[in-house]
Amino acid sequence: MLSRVAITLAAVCFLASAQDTYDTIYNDIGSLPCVRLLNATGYVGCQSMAAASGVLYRADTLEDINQLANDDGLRNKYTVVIPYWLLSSSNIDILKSSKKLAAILAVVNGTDPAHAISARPTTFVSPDTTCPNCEFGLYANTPNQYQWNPTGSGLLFEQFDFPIYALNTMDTRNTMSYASVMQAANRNRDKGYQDYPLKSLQFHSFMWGAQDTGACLRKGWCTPVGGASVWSTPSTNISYTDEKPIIVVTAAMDSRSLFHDLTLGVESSVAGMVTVLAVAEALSRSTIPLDTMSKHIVYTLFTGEAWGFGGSQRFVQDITSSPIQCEKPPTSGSGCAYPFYSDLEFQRLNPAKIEAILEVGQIAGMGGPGGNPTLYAHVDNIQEAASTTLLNQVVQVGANGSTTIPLPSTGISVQAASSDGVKRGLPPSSSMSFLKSRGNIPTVVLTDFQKQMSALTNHDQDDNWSTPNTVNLIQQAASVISKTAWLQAQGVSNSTAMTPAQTEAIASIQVDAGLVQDLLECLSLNYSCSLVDRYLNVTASSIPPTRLPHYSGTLYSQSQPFPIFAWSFLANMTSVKNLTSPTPRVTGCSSKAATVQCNPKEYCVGDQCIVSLTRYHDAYGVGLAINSNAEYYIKDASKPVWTESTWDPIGLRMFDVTSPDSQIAELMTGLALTLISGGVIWYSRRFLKKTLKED
Amino acid sequence: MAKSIEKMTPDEILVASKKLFFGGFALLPMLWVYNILYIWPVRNRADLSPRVRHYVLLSGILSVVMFVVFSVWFGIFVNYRLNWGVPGDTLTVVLVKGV
Repeated sequence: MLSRVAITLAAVCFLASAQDTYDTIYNDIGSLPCVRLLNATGYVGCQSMAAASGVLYRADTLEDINQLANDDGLRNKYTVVIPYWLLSSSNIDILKSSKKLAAILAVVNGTDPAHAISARPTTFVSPDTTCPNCEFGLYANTPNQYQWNPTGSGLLFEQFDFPIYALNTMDTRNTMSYASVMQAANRNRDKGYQDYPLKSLQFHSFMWGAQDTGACLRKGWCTPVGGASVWSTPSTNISYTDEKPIIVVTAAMDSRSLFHDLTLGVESSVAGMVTVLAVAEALSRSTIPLDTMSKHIVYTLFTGEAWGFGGSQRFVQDITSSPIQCEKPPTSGSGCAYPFYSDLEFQRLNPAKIEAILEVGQIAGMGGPGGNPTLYAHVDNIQEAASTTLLNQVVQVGANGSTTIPLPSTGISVQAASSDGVKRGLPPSSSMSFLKSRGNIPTVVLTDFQKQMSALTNHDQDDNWSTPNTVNLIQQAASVISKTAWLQAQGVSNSTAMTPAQTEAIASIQVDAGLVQDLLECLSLNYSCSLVDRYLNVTASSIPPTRLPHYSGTLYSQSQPFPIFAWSFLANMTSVKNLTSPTPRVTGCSSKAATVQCNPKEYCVGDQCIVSLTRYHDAYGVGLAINSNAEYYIKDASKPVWTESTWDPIGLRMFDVTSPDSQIAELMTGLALTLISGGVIWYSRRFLKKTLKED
Repeated sequence: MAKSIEKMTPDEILVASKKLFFGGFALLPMLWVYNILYIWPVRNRADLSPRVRHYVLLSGILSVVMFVVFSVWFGIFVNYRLNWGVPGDTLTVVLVKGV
């Protein structure tokens, strides 16, 4: 009885201390991994078949990396902690060929002097290719395509069979991880990497997907990359057959980088998104209501653009294949179950009626050659005659000093990108998807660069914005685009010959610089800000989100904060406003004890019931399709088919290791003991048998 | 317990060897290998029927042939299974993730 109690107690104590034992050995670290993505021909990114572990080694400069490679006294495998800017193909090759590499930790931001801003090199290198997504762009089949990102290193498209993780001090948990890792690495360094026991770091980073998208979709080991695009128009009565031309104002919402949790993408795409949101707000102030004009204005914000223009190509494909025969209606909500569409309202847009496209590309003014910020208007160089009128109007509107069309006094001028005589064509942009379907649509893409994209394109660290430059550039671009769109929609070709009502209306279109700043801050620094809170009530959640990454994520597998915010904001800006008899909108629809129910055709946005034509649209590689069993498959392998691999739980943990020599000595001692005990037992048995037999 | 091979009569050995040889054709090639191993201790007995020697020799040849066939198939399958697409997946019993 007593022994049973004792045994139970011992068992309970043992179980209770199992976690303590784990905690005394391991220290779990927060992690920002690089993952594997697949396309039609292969895969990119990082994979680790077995858990990789290595002794922490600090390498702050290229000399340190070379020293690790050449030091014959170091015979272990190492987890190398390097600053983010040392992450390049050649450095990784040095480490790989030294055969001492277990994994890499790249520090993006840290408090250590080696990782401080002052230690950063002044020139950046974009990790993207020399012409991002050009194989899916408008000029894919032309020889000698203009390379828009000539300094791109192509790091995003390399394959690594070891883990690469990032360290970034962007929130409390990650700051603690950084502190633990740096403390351990410093201790190792102080011991000269020879004085065992040393701190070691182990990575669990197993990616399921392999080979290419086709093989991995077949086995169900990956999911398409994508999300939800948003389109919106103030013309709530737009229809396919109303014979009214359409002006499209567009930008990309998403970006990519090596570490998807850190994708900031402000220069790459978010500044453009902010511009379009500001344009929608400015145009909503027009004293001539937008839905009474002779042409429609449609705002489109596409997701998945970083992955072969997934969002825009799918949107163009869908609107050009109207009407859709829906074979299996959805079980709930709108859209169609097979062929799969989450929403079918896009059928109201007539692509043959698109008369102009105004796109905002990279506009944050970062990572360029410097000098006075200027806006450049790019046009297609194959059918350039089609865009001449639109281009001239954009440049004319942007020329400061026009009295009929006032602009904010930012001192930023708008020039044609071919003002230096070189016709480069369009930079990689969403409008290419429209032009691939019909090449003679007048199209202007506004950017902050003339000759090459920002060196921060798809960078993890500095793809950011700066005040006041970025705010001024966005304000100017939004003003130019909103006024040009307005003039186009009114059919005004000569801005000096406008009616007084038109002059008053166009003067009422003002871009709010405070709104631009708020949008930039909310979308890149802190999502739990008052602007977002008005629409989405984010501060009420248990862990208010702060900095959210701009990677589009995988299709339908997680909530999409940026498209949801874009939807709410655009719905509010394009909602029907009755200016003649201003009745206040019905409010109170989002209160917990819902005091007001909106009508079936209305939406509750920002606590108000509004009528708006704002819809989501599926965005994923246009080479992929969904079959009647709701499975993904490749429909056309020559088009983008990007997918992201499924993975086992990612983890990082730190523990002590002893030297390889002492580990071998332990093994040998164990073997020797086993053999000796085996021998002793065998001989004693024989001896005892003999002795006992004699007796 | 069966009798040990040394205590069997030549007729019993002949019957055993014959069963092992023809049994191998029922998709059991290991029986041919076993034929050789089983008869090996008594292969040189003078009173053994010469047919036993023939069975064992044929079993040996067939074992070598099957070994070559299996080795070649193994090499081809392991190296090209991924390139065969859907047939490759159907032939694989356990789909290993990450490759």
